[in-house]
Amino acid sequence: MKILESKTNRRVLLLLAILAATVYSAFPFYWLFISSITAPSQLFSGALFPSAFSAESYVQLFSATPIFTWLGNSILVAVIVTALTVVVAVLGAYSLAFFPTRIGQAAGQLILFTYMFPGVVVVVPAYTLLSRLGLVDNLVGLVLVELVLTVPFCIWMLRSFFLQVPKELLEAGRIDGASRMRVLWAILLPVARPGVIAIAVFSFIFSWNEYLFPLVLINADEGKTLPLGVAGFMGNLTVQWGPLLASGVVAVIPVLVLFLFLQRHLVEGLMAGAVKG
Amino acid sequence: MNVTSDLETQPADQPRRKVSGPRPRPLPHKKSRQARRENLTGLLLLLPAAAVIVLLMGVPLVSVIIDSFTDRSFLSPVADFIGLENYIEVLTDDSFWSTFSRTLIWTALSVALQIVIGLAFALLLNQRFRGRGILRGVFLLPWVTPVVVVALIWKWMLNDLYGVINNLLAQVNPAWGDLAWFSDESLALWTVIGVNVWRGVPFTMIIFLAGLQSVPRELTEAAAVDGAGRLRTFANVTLPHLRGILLTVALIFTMFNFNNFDLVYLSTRGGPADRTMILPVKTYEVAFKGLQIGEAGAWAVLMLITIAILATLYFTYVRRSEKESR
Repeated sequence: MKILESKTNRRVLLLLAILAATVYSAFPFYWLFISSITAPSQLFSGALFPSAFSAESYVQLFSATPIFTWLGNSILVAVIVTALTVVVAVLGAYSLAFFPTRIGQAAGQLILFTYMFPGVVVVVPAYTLLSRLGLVDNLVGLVLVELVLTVPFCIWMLRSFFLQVPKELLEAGRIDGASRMRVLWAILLPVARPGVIAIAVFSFIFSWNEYLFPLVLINADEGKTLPLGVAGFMGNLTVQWGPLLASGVVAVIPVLVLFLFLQRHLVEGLMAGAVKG
Repeated sequence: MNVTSDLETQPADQPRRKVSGPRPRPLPHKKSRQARRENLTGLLLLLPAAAVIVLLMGVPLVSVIIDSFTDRSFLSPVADFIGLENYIEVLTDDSFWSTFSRTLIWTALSVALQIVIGLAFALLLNQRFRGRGILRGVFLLPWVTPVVVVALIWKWMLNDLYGVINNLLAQVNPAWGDLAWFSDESLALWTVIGVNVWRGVPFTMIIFLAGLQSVPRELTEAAAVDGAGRLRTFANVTLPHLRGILLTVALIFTMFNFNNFDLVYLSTRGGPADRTMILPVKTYEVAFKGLQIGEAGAWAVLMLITIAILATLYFTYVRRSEKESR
């Protein structure tokens, strides 16, 4: 491969590769967004750069569907799932990283293992269980079930962050007379803040994107989360592409904004989990 | 550093875990009490997580297994124990083996492509150039996007009447413009695999990137000094260093893809004519379209058995190759 040894060739190849990879990753998003603001007259023309734009698709979307209710439900569920996951995962990871017991280690292995189970295996009995508790078609039920998606992953990710904190730091706190909970709150959490942010972003995105559990647990139109609403809209016999594409933009914007601001933490979290986990 | 030296001057009966080396130990009585308290704290902290997992994963799992030996359905409140009948029915069903082998193809091809393309992207991001951080974010986008939007975007772009990609293809060859990617029986599976790869690549990429950044620079530089070309350095230095990560990614992504429900369900519902029907979608359909909880349980248990076999094969392979390399 002589080509790779010349400096100019390498720069040109690098540039081409960057270009190809960028188009591959980003063009679909460009196309979704552009299509959603293309005037209906040009929507089906397939022009790469449409010339007539309108908000028609959004107007139709907002008037024809309860999209704001879906949006509200999605935000509510994702925020509560995130809060609960962070509490449960912080306690769990604190235990796995700093109070190693034999049972705890076994439980840790088990947690990692649950991560490999298909959601579809759990969903039928989960449905039966929740219907017995009267929690079907109920956002509380949905929040509970989604915890099983977020907690195992987040515990493992946070554990690898906690393990990087020197034990001596916590022991010093204990010697100064602080309780274990105080040490967690005042010493460990501030030091491991990036990890906590990473798992929060994770749980939010997981919950925001989840489709199977809402599909099974929510039937009423006004209880739907955004992915469920969009999917129902997509499944209509006569697909109305304009408003449908607009609903896709609405569903993707919150995660994009979140991702934009917190990308660094998310990447750090993934990398920490990948190399040390 | 102050912290450590402070600690050394403290009396030895201060709380401490796992004292190693010949340090003065506290009195046995006192130590075991201390240790017991530590253990108790550890378990209490783990309790909420354990509750979530036992109640929402453990209990459902056990009841799936029990249900698979009954004729339970959403249609009647009573269920009878029917032994292996569900299993016999599923295993003698014509669609079982085709669904099973299709799921394996789906999984193997998805994992292979996600690994190859993810590694290529990671290598790209491991080069030095301006705007690398922004690009890393852009490359990650497909992964943070809701699956429903992923399905929507691709069904729009690959629409046989007015999809933008079909339009571009038609300019090359008019016949290509009419390709019905998602509804043509011979194309659908490959199309959905392609979309699945698009969505999975960012995740493998970021893990490989973490791996690449942990390759000691001295190693690659030394190889370069020794006159090895870039490809040889990659094959002989970088790749062996990534071996552990590659194996882990292969395992995790085999599971992810094998368990995938939403992308296939959202883009094709297993159609056309079951050409994209994979085990998770089938299990869902049996339970919620056919309303047969018992039979769905049998499908689910067969999935679990397959996962267990795949995991065992994997760990056997890893252990053996570790022994050989020693």
